[in-house]
Amino acid sequence: MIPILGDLRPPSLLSLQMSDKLRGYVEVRPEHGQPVNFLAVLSGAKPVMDDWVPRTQLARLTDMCADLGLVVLPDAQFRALPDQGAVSQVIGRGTLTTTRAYGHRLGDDVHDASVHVFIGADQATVERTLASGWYPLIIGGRANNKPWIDHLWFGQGLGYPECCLRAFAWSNNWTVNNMPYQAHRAIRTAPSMLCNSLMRFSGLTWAAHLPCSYDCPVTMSMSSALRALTYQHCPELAGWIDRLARAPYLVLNEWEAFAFAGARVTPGAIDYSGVTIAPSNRPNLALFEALTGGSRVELRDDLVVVLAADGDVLHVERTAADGFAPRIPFVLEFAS
Amino acid sequence: MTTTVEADSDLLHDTIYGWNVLRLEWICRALAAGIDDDDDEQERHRVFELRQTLAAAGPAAHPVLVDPRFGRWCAELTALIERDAPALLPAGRFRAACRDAGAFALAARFCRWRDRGQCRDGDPAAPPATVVRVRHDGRVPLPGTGWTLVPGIRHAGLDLTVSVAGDGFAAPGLPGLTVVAERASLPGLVASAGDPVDVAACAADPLLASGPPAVVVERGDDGDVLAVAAPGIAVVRAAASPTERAWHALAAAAQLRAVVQQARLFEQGAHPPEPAPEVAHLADAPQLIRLLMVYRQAVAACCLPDVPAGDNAEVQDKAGRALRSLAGWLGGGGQLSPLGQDLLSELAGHGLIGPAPSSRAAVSSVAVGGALRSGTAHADRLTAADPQLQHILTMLGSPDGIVVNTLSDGRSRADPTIDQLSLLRARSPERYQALARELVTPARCLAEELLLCHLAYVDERFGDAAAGYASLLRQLPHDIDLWRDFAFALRHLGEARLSETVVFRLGDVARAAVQAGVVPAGTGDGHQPPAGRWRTAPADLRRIIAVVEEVSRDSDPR
Repeated sequence: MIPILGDLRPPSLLSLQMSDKLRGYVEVRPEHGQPVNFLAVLSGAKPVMDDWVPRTQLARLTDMCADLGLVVLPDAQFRALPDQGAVSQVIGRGTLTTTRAYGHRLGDDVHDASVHVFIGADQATVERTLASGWYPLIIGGRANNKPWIDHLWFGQGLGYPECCLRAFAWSNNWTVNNMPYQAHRAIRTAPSMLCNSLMRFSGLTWAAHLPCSYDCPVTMSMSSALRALTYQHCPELAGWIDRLARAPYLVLNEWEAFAFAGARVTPGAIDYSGVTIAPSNRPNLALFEALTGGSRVELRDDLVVVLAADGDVLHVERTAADGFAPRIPFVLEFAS
Repeated sequence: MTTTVEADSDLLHDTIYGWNVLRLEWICRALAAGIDDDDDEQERHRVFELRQTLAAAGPAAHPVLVDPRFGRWCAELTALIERDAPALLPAGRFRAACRDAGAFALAARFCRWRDRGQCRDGDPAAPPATVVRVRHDGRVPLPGTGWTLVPGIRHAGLDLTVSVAGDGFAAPGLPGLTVVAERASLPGLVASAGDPVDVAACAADPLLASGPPAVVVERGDDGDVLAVAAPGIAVVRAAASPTERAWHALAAAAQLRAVVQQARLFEQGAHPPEPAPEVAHLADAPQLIRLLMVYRQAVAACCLPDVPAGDNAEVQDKAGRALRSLAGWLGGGGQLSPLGQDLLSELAGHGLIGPAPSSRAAVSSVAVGGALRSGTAHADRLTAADPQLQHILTMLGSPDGIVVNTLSDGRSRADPTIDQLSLLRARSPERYQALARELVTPARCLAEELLLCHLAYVDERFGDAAAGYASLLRQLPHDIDLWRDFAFALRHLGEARLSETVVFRLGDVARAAVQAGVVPAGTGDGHQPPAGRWRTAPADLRRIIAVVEEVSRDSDPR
């Protein structure tokens, strides 16, 4: 997974002013990954969150959470593939999702592994969420997947809105569909930054889940509460998330999204002065590079055309919707 | 009452011609691709998902996907014809195919214009202008013409209105349009060796040489289009009778398969023949085409409102014979898609053909149990004991039975039914409940027993699910899908250690259970009885838990 690259790249979390409770968590997990979700769990707005911590930090996290009245339950260990694309020998590689890792038992001594943990206030709810929270891991050269219904139960455990879980059941199929595109199609009013989860692999979003639409009222309500909470605990972090969430985006699929700064959006085109790539384990760095050198991007059917300030075509990106992770280019301009 | 007419609009012909060539390109590519097991699994899943999506798309159309291998392409063509179909992705490759179809339409117009010797400036009968969309590289190759339009990369993805003018082309919006003499290869048509195939070679292909195929458009009395048929695709109004739908689907299937066969022959002409099990069984293409002609005549005759009674019987008989031939061919090669199986059943239900052939190459449930209990053989799939259950298996993506997955099979999962049941429950609880009511206890066969276990899991009755899976594992100890479902049921029961043992030492537990399976049931099977909650569990569950416990106690050799 690459970090956020580009001119909307946020500062290090540890450099920000924040409440002691949040700092306790950030000192264990200094990445941007889950601080907002942690606040949501802490406040009771979210029943359970899952996270990944180095095994050496597990005891510290557990103690820190216990002090705050939270339970931490560990599951398997993940050891990330050195090359996220190198899965050609894995049986069932097509079923692996965004994070590709070898699985190890909790008791195994594995270098560079992270423990998948589940954090919440209520032991029984955390146990139930852990039971359905198995992540597809490579074990013995095979992808190991849970039954599909567990995804739904896991989403319920994490507190995702029912409407979004229904949409997930319909559209989150990477072999034939594209969930962000479907959420875009489902917009009835105007896209809201409170539903913008395009940067969710960075943790810097108000919505942690894939919304059923970018104007989902339930998501907006939940995100709004979380935003207010984050402004209380860490105003600077909240400001960065707002900045990322408000930017206009070019989206192709869950792997490929770009936020623009200094942007003016017209139908099918964005004029811009800066671009930021959303973290993903399959980022389109070639398109990012072209966008970085350009100042306008136009969508012409399945083609993404990047133009320089003088109108010269710098890059034409062909997209395809008939393979795994279908790519469909569209532009989202979020309202506050 | 409906009438059948031949649609002969130039645009329709040109477009269908373009689509036909595109399909050929796609099929050639598919045949050359060498799909490995995993991809094939994905492809099947993808097509199955598409079918589910389309089935849920509403009453606007009843899309018929006639072949799992080519279903996606058919679905895209369906979307072109029936634009109301929601939930399809209207972009990407589909858009690119539309763009190519525009270029084919222009090329076809030009060729016909040139062949008729009518290349005169200002001819009042000159073909109308065609809108083409410029390719990503700023070019518009026109296959078969020897020309490529080069509006330039600035126009990539933009529309261009082009007329046939004199012996060339003109674009009113682009006076300086460059047209280069360039033999255009078919976009994307790549032979196995990776070299583009040029149009001259394609001229030897009977499909391309034969010109645009006829398109049958069926209209109602009020003139509304009721059905459109093109090679490999039938889009039939939702209100059509099952027989009507079946007839159209059969025609489409036959024509598509003929195209596949021709594509195959074409490929063999250019390259040494390679075994292609997917199509090797196909009957002789000309015979198929003849059958198709008979079928069309039969359909047309049946649709005529004023056929005399005596002739009608003869026509019906002729139609029946044609349908039986087609049905026999469709069912004869072991390649029938789930939908094809449904169609045969429908036709049989209407008395048009004999009973649908029983599932092929599958081991009967009775044989499975018997063979495994005696420890002499492995079953490869669990088949349905009756047509009702067969229908359920088909609906759950296992028309030929639920495949037993083993470590040596090289598949991550072979049984899709638990996931399909899960999706059904999430997407359509009413249909899920209706399906659940159709399953009975005690199960009539192993397939039904497995579905009942899956239902217990999806309904969160994890104790029942674990007991059921354990019972099946006594009979199918080598089935790794079963083991994993069992492990997840244990996980939900809070048995993290046992679940972990199964997931992380799948091979060890399967091997241990296979060995234990040949020991007669009873207390003397060599395993320590399990502790705690399992002491009062059903016997099979106790035994399987004992196997897992034993593996868990062994040190992990890894």
